[in-house]
Amino acid sequence: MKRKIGLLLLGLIFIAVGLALGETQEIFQKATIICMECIGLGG
Amino acid sequence: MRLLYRHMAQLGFFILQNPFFKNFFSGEIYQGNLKHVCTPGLNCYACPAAAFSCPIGAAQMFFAGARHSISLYVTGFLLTVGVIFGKFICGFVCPMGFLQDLLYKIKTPKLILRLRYLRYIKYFVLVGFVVLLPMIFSNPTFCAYICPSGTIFGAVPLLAVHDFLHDYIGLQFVIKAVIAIGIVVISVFVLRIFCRVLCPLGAIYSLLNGVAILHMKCDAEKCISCKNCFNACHIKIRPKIEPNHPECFRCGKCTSACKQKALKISL
Repeated sequence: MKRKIGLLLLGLIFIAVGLALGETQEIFQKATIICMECIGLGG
Repeated sequence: MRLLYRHMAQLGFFILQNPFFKNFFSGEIYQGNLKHVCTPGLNCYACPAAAFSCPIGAAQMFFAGARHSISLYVTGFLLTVGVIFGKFICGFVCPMGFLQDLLYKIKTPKLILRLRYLRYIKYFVLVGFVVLLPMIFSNPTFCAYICPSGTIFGAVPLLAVHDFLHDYIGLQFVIKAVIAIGIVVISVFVLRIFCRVLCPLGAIYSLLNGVAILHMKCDAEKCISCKNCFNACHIKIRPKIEPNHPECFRCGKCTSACKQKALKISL
């Protein structure tokens, strides 16, 4: 159980740091356009 | 009945993750604030109906980006979801898993395969196509060359609406289309071939299935070793011995088959 809680806490800390670094804004910018390479077009 | 509940949950999560059906006709992509958030399943963010962001696509974006860095947000999200739910996500939430389950419902003879060695390919896909190749070539390699979710739910609907995208069809798309068609055809005969062999998200949840808070238990006092659970399992896991096997995506066939009610989902 300690391992599970430890991993869960680690995950939550990572999320918090990621949010603080503004990572969700970068994801948002990528996810709101037609990303050609993401759907296999252009190559 | 339990299986029906699972399929109803899958349908519900599919609609929850892809509520903007009208975008299939306009070819627009949802641009609201929900796209800041990742979804736990493999759900392409280029799908016109998608409300959330794909964690595998988002992770690659960071590895392929100027800093070639890991995304702490995506890593933390997958770790948190994986530690709580394990492969329940694959069985109940993932749209790509739902599609394969529907294809497997088509009445044909089925190939019950254990895929003892092929199942390790997904870990190479995770390390190679999601982490290393994007870092080397600054390109989301899994999305670009493999992901059938992007082809089926993203590329096909967008190509159907936008004529200008036809000019961009090349070898890369042909490779992706062949993979997607192959997965669709094989899924009719083999249960969840993509999840079990190629899915990098499934690989992450497989690694966490053994430590997941929501897990399966076998009550040794109730179990009479009738092997009904093993016979019901289409991926040939022994729930009595390994109830939290990395490949078990919680389809519920074993728990339904257990007349002794020895197999239980618990916290």
